[in-house]
Amino acid sequence: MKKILFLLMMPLLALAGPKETVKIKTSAICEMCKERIEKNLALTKGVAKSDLNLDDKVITVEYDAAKIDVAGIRKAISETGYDADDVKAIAKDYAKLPNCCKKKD
Amino acid sequence: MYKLLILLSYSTLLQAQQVMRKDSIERDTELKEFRVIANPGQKDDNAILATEVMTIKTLGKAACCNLSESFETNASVSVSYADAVTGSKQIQLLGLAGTYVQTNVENVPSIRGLKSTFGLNYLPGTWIKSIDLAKGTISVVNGYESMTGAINVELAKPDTSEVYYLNTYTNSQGRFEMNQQGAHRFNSRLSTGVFAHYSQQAGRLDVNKDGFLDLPLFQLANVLNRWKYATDRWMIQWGANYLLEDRLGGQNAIQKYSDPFQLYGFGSKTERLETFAKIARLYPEKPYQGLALILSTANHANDSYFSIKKYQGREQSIYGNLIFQSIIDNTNHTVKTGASFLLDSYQESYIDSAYARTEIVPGIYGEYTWTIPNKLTLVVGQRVDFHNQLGTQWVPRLHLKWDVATDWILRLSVGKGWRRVNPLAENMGFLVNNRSLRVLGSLNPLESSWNYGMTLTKNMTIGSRKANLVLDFFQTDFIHQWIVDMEAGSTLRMYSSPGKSFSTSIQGEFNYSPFKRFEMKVAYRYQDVQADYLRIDGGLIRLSKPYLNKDRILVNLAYATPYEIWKYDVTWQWNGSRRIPDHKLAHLHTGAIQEVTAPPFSTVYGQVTRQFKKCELYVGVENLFNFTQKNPIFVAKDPFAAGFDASMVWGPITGTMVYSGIRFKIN
Repeated sequence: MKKILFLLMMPLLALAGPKETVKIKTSAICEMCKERIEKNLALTKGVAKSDLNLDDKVITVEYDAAKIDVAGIRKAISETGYDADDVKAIAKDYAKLPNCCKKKD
Repeated sequence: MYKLLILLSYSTLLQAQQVMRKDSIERDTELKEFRVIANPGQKDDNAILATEVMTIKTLGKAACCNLSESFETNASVSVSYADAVTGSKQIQLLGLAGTYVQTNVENVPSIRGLKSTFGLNYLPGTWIKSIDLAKGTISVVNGYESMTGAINVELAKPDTSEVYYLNTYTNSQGRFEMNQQGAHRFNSRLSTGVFAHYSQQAGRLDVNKDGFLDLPLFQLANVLNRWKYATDRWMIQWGANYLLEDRLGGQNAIQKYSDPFQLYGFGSKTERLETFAKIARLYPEKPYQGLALILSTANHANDSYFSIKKYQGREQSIYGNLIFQSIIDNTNHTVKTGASFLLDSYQESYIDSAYARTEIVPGIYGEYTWTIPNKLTLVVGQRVDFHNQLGTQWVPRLHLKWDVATDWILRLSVGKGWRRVNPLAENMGFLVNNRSLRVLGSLNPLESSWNYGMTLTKNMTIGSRKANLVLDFFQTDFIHQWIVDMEAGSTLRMYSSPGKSFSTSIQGEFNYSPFKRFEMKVAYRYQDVQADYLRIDGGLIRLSKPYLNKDRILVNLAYATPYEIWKYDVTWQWNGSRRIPDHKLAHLHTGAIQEVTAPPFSTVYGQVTRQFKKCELYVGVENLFNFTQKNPIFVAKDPFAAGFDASMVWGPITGTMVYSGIRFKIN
């Protein structure tokens, strides 16, 4: 069974190329934020892996430099509704976040 | 992942407390959406009735075009073609026809009356947000018609829907579908949604070379506009749904205006307008109290023909239900009470006979719920309806949920249900033959039954992974039933059940997630349905229900890559052999019969979904093993001769089908 699953996952693995890593400070708050940002990055072309640490809100992103640059990754995070380093969250997307993911004023 | 689930369920709890203030109808649905996430087997552990919940996620496993195709991964419900010509699909629950299942859309009775012929095909899959399936009788608040179970479909709500949603679907059999949905929020209170569906079967398909179209051609347009207004004190929803459908089936060369004496044709035109309003008064300072009014109207027109036999049906219907909910002393004792009203007017004609009737059914009900938190919940319901033709009908129901021990839940239900038969609309598939229709004896259009059920749920962990096991037993005993008898080769007989009629259903289902993002379901179901039929000589003979397989196995495997970027889904169904009526013309149905059976068969469904930022693409296959019933139509070469019969269908008519589609969303 696992073998079949592996074969079915081939299209994903075939995308692999040389990787670079970057750390980006985000405005994530909870587990839902983490899931949201990581999922959105996973769906972003060129991003191989990402892991957000909720203690310091820093996300470590592994990416393919030929397909995306750091600015592109920050943009993707801001479009998810979160700040990424000095790039502010897009207001329209921030508004769509669930209440628990919004900054407490 | 589990951390997330815990967090999610915590936030759910907080939300749930807020939602509790809304009326019960809203509350039930909003709670369920969350429960499912933490519950691999889609069993609602908090529900008093044994309830299976199918969410968008479940429904997305097999891209379903409409409600009739939503049950492919469900072990309890079977979907069958009624015949080889009209394309109408019917569901079966507990081995009995879908007409005994109360099908509601957002707690408004929906698929009933003349709509029961094609009603399941009329609800587009993309409109559906979740489906709740309850076996046995349900709460008296929802009416008297749930004899074997109930389905409640929740549609997409205007305040939580995507701004724009486009879905297209194409398959290798020449079917095309398009759904467009838009929602708009005017402010925090008012929102509206427009849902438009168009589908078409354009391909003329005759793979089995019997001279008949395997699937009828059809065009279906369906539009829904709904509104929602919500404040702390009021929750008002209203809307209208209009649909238009044109079907054409029969011999391959059939055209709309073909000479009915030259070519065998089936045509059906349906036009339906539904409106609904749901008004709930909430009491923020008394969250346990609520007052709700549900109103709906329907206007249905159908014109059909089966070769030279013409059918015409008209129905106008008005329904109202006023529900009051409160507590006695504390929230461990809750009471729901109310009154309902149904006005249903029918005008039908078939060949040269006309039938008209108006049903007026006012009713009152009361339901008491006693809760010992985390231990026991007991619901006792009573309702009385005053039918202008069938007299006063009393419906008692009892539900019990007992948390026997940690992770063990036992549910019991006992209840009565009844309905009024629509002999023609419900049995249209049986008209596609040259049998002579004979209605015997003095007819009692009342059907009523007792249903007894028991469900045992065991939640467990195998290794560190969650699993659950559900065993259930349901027995339905008919008091009155309308029997459609095809046992004699040349006639279709309808009569009131002359003896006993019962159904026994036993099912076991095991859900397990052996590793992350992999879920499996294995289910086995046994059904024993028997009834006494009238022999030609007037005596009785007890036969098992034709076309129904006793045994069924269902296995569903689902795997998703991280973040569900790729989703894979496979379902295997095995259906045991089943009895079919002896088709020989001279067969007189005397009792000394040689049983004719159809062979067992299996079908496999599979689908792969790839998710992108704004859209999803899916490719799937149905009936992978290409199993079909070899000769679904008897004497297909000469449809005007005695013996022609397209109503003896027990298996798939079409073989392997490949489909693909896209779901595009703008939030």
